[in-house]
Order: sequence, then structure tokens, then C-alpha cells
Amino acid sequence: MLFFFMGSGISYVWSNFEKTQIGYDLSQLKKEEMRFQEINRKLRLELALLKSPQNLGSKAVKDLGLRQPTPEQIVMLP
Amino acid sequence: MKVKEKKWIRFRIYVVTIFFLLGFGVILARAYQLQVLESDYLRGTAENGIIGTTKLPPERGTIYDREGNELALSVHVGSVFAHPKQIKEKSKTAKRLSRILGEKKAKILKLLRRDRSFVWIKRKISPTLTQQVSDLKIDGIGVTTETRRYYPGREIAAHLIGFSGADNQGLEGLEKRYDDSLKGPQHRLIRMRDALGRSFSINRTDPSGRGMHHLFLTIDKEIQYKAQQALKIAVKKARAKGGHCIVVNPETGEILAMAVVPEFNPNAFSKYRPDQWRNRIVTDCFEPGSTLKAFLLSASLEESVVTPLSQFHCEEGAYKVGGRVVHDTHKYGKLSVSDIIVYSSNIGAIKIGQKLGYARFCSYLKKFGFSTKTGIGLLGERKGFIREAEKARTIDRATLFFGQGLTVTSLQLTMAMAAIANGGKLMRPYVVKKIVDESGGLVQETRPKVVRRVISTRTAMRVTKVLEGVVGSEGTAPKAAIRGFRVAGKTGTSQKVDPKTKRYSKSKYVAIFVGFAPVERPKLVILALIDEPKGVVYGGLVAGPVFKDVGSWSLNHLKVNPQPDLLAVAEAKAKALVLDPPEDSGNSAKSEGVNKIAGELRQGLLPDFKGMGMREVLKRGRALGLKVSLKGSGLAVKQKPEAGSPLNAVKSVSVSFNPPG
Repeated sequence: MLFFFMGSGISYVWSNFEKTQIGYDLSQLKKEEMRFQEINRKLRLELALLKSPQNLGSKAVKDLGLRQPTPEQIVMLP
Repeated sequence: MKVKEKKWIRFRIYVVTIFFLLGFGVILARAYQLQVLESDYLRGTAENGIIGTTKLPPERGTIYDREGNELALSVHVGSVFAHPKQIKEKSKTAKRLSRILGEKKAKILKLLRRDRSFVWIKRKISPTLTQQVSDLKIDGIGVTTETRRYYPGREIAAHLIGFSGADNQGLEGLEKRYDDSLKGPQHRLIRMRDALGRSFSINRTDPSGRGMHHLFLTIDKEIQYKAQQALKIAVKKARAKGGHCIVVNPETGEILAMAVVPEFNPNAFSKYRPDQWRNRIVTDCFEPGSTLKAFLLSASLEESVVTPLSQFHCEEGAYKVGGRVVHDTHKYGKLSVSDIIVYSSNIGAIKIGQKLGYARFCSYLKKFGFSTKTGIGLLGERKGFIREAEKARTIDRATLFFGQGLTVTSLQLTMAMAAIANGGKLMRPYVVKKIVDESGGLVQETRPKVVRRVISTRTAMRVTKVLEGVVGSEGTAPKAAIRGFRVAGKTGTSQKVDPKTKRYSKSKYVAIFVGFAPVERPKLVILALIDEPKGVVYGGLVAGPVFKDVGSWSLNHLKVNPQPDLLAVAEAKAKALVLDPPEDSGNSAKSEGVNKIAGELRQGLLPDFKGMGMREVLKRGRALGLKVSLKGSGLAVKQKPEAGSPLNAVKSVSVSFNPPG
């Protein structure tokens, strides 16, 4: 009986301790999640800026010497 | 035991009992005080010790184009504020802040010396700068996180999207119109802390209970950019005041592009004048000029008052009506209805209109959507004006037929032309394709809506056939023709009213071209309008090239194949690379090859691919609208079906290649 009560008491304390530890971890992960979400947003903005037609157009024309194809130059592969 | 002793014992028992009862009573009273009377206050005090609440910056939904490209999105940025009354060494603080923030010390000092309890020092700056300010640990100086709206496409669709202000509120365009949907909730972060201040529980709450939504527009970012570029070039070339260009899908009413010049950059909207923010496509009205003749023709054919071949005398360029003389740009005698439209004769239009009747034409114009709002749901949309029959003078009754004396918006004119393009249905235009919630769930979807049928499909086809002539070599807009596609449209050059004299100006015009392509199955209706061009002012010459540029590029972008026979004829005419002859062959052989191919196509026969390279075969096959499957490598040696097979029975062709030699 004594062992049973002792065991129950230890289990209770241990589970409470674990709960608190998991709480700490969860808080950290939530902070991380929010930080990553913000980084993701900033990267999406960066990507959108880089992919903007103004940026791509100037790079393609000035840096790579490309130009718009005429209709007959566009060949759609089957 | 003596009675006296017994009494004494009983007395002591009573005393102890009363003592304990009083003790319990005090404990109960105290418990009641703590648990019931002061519970809220005490709970608050305890929670303040272990629970910390942080206000998160308000969020705002993203605006995407039809392909999911971001057109407007918010990111977190830092802001620095001060409580001037708490700052002791103001000059020293200003100096330290100016070093980090890159602002003048005097400017910061002025803010710190203000007699206020709170001032912003600098808002919406990089979080690294705010971190540096925070590290200074100056009493009375604080940092906070806010959101800043970015428009990565800069000027792209700026007039349509609008912009939002420093406090996350929509100020113009769709940002304002859909502010309630885009505005996110004010989240609070509730953290439970231990004795060392470490968080062991985080919860994000939303006291408002409303969600943030994202918008998906019908705009195609690439077409929008092309429309803005082409328009900008045309406006610059014509030394004009500005211009509009709209691209619409006539089958659905989806707006693919809505360009206004002069442009503005919504990332720095305060640097522009408020009138430059206006979406003039819906807010500005103008006289449509000769473009209205397309609708005169539609109404007249629908009512069977004329046929395209009916003849009218165009009075050799001068016609007296209502005490005034109406002129044509060229002198014409007898012209058919079809030619009146193609040559854009004002006198001819009056004569057609007189047969139709003013009131009947007005009712058709209203059916085409003029003088009512289109229902696009953009802020500031105007409905234009048509003079009622009973208020119209004799001259008004004549000039209306060639587009004077009424006002329309660019959008109304585009949608009316779209009704001709799609076989007679007036569509409701729309720019917001769908609204989704934070997890991507559909909240609202806009579907194509037919407002009404205006003319029959047969009439629309007959009108289209006539309008095709406008871009022909004889018409007023050969510069609007797109190589490889059949195009229909109408030009317009209208005089503007001088606000000072209240008369038609002799130097201020609006040049318009509105049309669609490809004629067989229209994919795009495009309006190009140049406001107050200098020098050449005609719609066909000034606005036509914008239509051609935008149309040609957009059809390519939408993977619409050019028509093979048109391309072949154009190629044959230009002696272009339809069939590359061997290098040693002479000009005669080349022209023979061209003639042979063009001849085969005219007869509707499958050409001979033998001897061609893969690229050439694919190019030719695509031009014929065929599915081409390739086998091997090198030059074409065999094809199935054989050359000369009737084209209308062939849907795909298989070509075998072998290396030469």
C-alpha cells in the first residue's frame, strides 16, 4: 500500500515536471514558428521583387541580350 | 468527582470549544474575503506576476494576381518611440539615436522636447536598427513591431490595387474597397512565465474573432506590365497628357489588365499628387467619338433598318444639320454601311442614325451598358451621361451617332465592345477572382455573370465582319493589325471640351482604339486611349499601335496560336522564313517554295515536311494547329499522313527524322 502511494506520488510529480518542460519547449517552438513565418514573408517579398517583370526584363535585355520572341519563333513542344 | 470539579471541566471545554469556533470563524471569514470578495483583484495581481501579454502587430492579407504572384504583402518592421517627459538627457539621447537611425540630431531633439507624453521617433524601419536602439537601454525610449505594406511590382496595377496607410488601413483602390476583408485581427500573445522570467506557455488570442483574408485578382501581372509599358511608350511618343489601356476576357468579363499613365509607385504614394492615384479607367468620362459607330451599326443591323450593303450618300464631306455643318475628314459620295464604318464617315453615321432614330439608339446604348455603372465594384466609378430624347436639340440628335454629346468611361466602352466580341452578351466586369482565408479556404468566389443579351449572335457576327475592315489596309487603323490573327475594332478621335470656353477645343483630343482578337474566337478585348496627344491625333495612328503591341504579346503569352493561312500569306508576302531553301539555291527557288507552301495551304492540303529540321517542322505544324509527334533526329524523311492530305481531316502528324548523309 505504501509503495503504491509512493509510486503514485512520484508519477504525479514526474508528469507535472514533464508537463512544465514540454511547456518550455513548446514556447520556444512557438517563438521559432513565428520567427520562421516572418522570415518566410520577407523571403516571399524578396522573391516577388526579384521576379518582378521590371527586374527580369532589365536583366534579360541588358545583361543577357535577350529579346521578345515573335509569334512564329515560339514553338510549343508536343 | 465533586460537582465543583465537573463544572470547572465543563467550563474549560466550553472555553476551548469557543476558542476553536472563533478561530474557525476567523479563518472562514478570511477565506471568504480572499476567495470571494477580493478574488478578481488577487487573481489579477497573481496573473500580472506570471502572465505577460504582448500586442502583436496587426496583420493584413496578401493581394495576388491570377497566377498567385504577390502584388501586395505585409512584413514586420520596427518603429522607435519616446516618452519625452521621462528622458533626462535629451541632447545626448538625440545624438545617440541620430547615429543609429541616420536622422538629423536637431530633428530628433525637436521631437524629444515636445510637451507630449508619447512621440514617434521613426517608424517602419529595419528590425536590426530597432534592435540597436533597444540595446542602448535608454529610459523613455522604446521600440515596437509594426507591419509595413510592400508592393513588389511597384507601379504594376497600382491604380487598381491602391495602397494602405501607416496604420494598416486601406486608403485607395482595392486596399480601401476590401479593407474589411484584408485587415487582420489584433492578436495578443499571452505568455506564462516562471520565477526566472522564462515562458512556459504561449497562447495567441484573437479578441475580435474575425479572420484575415487574401485576395486573388483576375489581373495577369505579365499582361498588366506589358500594357503599362506599351501605353507609356505611346503616351511619351505622342507627348500626351496620359492614357488608359484595358485588357478583358470577353467570354467571362475578367479584367486581365488595367493600365493608367501617368503611373505612381504605391510604396511611396505620398510623393505623388492625389489626382495621380485615381483609377481614371472608372472615374473619368470622355466622349467616345467614332468608336460609337460600332454600336450604331449593331443597333441598326439588329433592328434591320439597314444591311451592310445599304448605300448612303455622304454629301461630299459637308452636311448641314440643325443649323450647323458636319464635316468628314475625307470627301465621300455614295458609301455602303460597311464602308461608312470602315472609313468612319460622320455624315454616313448621321444618315444611318436618322433611319434608326435617336430614342431607339439611346435605348441600345443603355442596353450596351452606357450611362449605368458596370458593377465592377471599384470605388469612384462613374456612370457617364446620355442626353434623353426629349432634351436633345436637332444637332444633338445628329452628333450622337458619331459619338459626340455623351460621355462614357473606358471600362464601359471596353465591356460594350466585349459584348460584340462574345456574340451579343453584356458581361459584368470583375477584378477579384476569389477571396480566401488564412488557411486557403474559399470564402467568396466571383463567377462570370451575363448582365443581359444586347444583340443576337448573328448581328454580332455581321458587325464583327464589318469591324475587321477597320484594321485592313483601307480602314482607319491598319496599325492595329496583329500579324497572324484576325482583328476587329473601331477607332475614335474625339474633341475635348475646353473648360474655359465651354466649347470643343481645337487642340485637345482623345485618341481611342477598341477592338478584339482573334475574330473567330475572341480571347481578348483591348482598349487603348491616349489623352491629349500632340501632333498626330487620330485614334488609329496613336492608339492603334498600343492595341497591336499589347494584343500580339498577350496572345503569345496566353498560348493562342496564330492562324496558319494568315501567317502563311503574311510570310509569303514578306518572303520570310516559311521554308528555308538550301544556301546555294537562287531566289527563284525560294519564291517557288514559298508559292508552293502558300498554294498548298490555300487549297487546304497538308504540306510536305521532308528535308526540314525539327524546329521548322514544329513551327509549321503548330502554325497549322496540328499535334506533331517526332521520331529520331536530323532531317525529316517520312511523314504520316502523307503530304497533300486534306488539312481538315488531319489533327496530328507523325514525322520521322534521320541524320543527313
